[in-house]
Amino acid sequence: MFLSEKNTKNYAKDLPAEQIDCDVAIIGSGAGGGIVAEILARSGLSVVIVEEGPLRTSGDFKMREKQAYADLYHEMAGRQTIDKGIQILQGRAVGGSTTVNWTASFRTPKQTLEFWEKNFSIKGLSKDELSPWFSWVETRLNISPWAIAPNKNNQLLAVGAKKLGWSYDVISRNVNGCANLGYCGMGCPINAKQSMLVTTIPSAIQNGAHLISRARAESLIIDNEKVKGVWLSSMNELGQVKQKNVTKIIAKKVILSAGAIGSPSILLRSKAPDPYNTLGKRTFLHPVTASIAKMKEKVEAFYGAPQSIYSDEFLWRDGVSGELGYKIEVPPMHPVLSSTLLVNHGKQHAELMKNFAFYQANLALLRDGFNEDSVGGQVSLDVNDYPRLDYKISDTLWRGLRKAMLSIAELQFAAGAQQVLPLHMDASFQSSWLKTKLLIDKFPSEKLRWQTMSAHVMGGCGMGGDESISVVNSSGTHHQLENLSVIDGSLFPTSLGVNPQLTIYAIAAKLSSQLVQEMNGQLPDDLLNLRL
Amino acid sequence: MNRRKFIRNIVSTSILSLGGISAYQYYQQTQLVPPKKDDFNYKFLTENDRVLLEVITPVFLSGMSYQQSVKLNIIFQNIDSAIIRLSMQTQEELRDLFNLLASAFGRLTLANIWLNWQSASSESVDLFLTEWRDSHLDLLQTAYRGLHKLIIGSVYSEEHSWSTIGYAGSPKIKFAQA
Repeated sequence: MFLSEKNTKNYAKDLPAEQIDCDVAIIGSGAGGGIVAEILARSGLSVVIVEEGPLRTSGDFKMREKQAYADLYHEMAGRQTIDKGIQILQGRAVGGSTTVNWTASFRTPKQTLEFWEKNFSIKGLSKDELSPWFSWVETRLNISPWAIAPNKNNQLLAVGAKKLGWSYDVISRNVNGCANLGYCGMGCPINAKQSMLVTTIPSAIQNGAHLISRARAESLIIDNEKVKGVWLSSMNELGQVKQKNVTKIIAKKVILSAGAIGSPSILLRSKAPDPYNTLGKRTFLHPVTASIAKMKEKVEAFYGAPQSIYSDEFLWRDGVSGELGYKIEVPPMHPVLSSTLLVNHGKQHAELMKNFAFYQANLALLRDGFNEDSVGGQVSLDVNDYPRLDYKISDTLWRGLRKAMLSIAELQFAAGAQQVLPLHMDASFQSSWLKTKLLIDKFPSEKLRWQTMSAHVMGGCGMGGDESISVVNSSGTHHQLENLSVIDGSLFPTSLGVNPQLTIYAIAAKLSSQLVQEMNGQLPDDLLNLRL
Repeated sequence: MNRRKFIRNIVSTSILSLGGISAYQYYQQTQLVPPKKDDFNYKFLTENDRVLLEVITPVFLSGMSYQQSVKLNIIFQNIDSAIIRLSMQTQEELRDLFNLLASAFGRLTLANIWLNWQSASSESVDLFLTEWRDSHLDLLQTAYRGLHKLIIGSVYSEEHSWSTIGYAGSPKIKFAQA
């Protein structure tokens, strides 16, 4: 199914409506908003989806970084934390990050769900309770283990893990008719990736939903602690605010699905009540550390399904709330992203780029938020009312980053690397595991020297049974404001330990189905059966 | 102290400590040759910024082969298009950085280049870039990282630069007619 022009408006070009009336306004069209929109629209509710980014479709996806980063990502794929210590890759287009993610799909680990239940009094999201919702989403988005041989970049992760006796497995992907091109991060040019852009959003529109792209939710309309609607600002083609408060949406219910930076920022702009000072806090990033290996043969890490093998050898090694565990995966490598991670200039940089096709890259993403010393970051507004994220790297996280760096470098030598370059400003290519280990042990724990990244933003509107440590309850309903729910990755009270899209999908399916029943909508049979 | 205030403090301290020299530097500034003519409608980069980039960019790319060379004006256009998509706050920070570099005080205190940019040798530019990269001041490190990302990213987003790195571009897809 593909998006038609019908029921869509682009506020960069089209004349905005002065007022829109609907049952539900959904702010954001990513993993959360996409699922919610489909379920609500199929249940007969009138829905308006608001998306800050542009509506782009397969014909616009040229497998070129130059075009993709400008068009489909927040801040040219270079969003940063306030102190510039962490670079954040985050999508900003219809479909949200699902339009540009690398398709890795994992169910939420049991340990994470149990931790939430125990520490945040979260109800209804146990492994068993979520299981039917996972199955529903996996069918809906054609999620299954990647059946084609991994590309060399991923295969080398398997080779190294096997050699060291570390566990590894195949990643499930949300694709249908994938041609194994390797350009998921620039938007799928053949509509194989089952992102929200080609699945739930078109289905919602077919069921009567309206989509407004290039529109930002400015603030909620609040009357006596009741949410009555939301003000929209129009955005221009560059992603900057064109005109503030152009449209007033009057809705029975507003659902924030703007992601873990966006959703808290709308609440902050709305001056929503925050009696326990929890809003925008506990924002988690799965901080990523990475290393590059030079192999004897060409790897061509730019071609083929970007992520198909992973290792959880160290994810829970020290218990759930001990030293920070980490998941090992590989990133795809394309010229712009890779060349800008090699932070040198002149001859040195050119020498590094010469062997580009021979590079294999590993990454480790750290499970933040499970430890008292890992409290995440904080979203606030800058002078322009634009969100920014402050994220300080704690001592526990520094220890985790160093351990993770050691593991991924060791794995690369085990896989036959000739040389390894851990991504740290004080590193150079090393020719043996021993030398690399000595180097990593000495790395200064400095935010700007250690090249840390993130592709998973979570938290900031945490859910929980205890108002004093959360923003919304286990159903996503705001603790203080009526008619307001949050349904996206910002609900998570900790990070997950796995790539987040599938968790967001399943929780969004469950919470939005509950909402349909509260609003007396007609839940379709496939979902109604899951509720029984 | 935030970054903007920090930059301002450095600038004002420099003005105080420089005394008469600043007037001389100012004179030097007026001797600048305007940047190469370019019909592109720059929305962020000023002529001053481009004079600066004309000096810095070749040093950033000095190791690249002739086949890889991307024209300077294409690089500057990419930089301009990138910056105007960043948040207004980030744009303001970059404006401060460019203004500071372009000012005599900035060159003197931060980049250690006494004469104006156009007469700076590539060795001295290379030296200041390396010093910034490894500086103990966060401000200088982030300035290096910022310039690096803008310049290197703008070069490797162009096909020309791929010729000697073993990247043949994306696979060609044939679409069946619908």
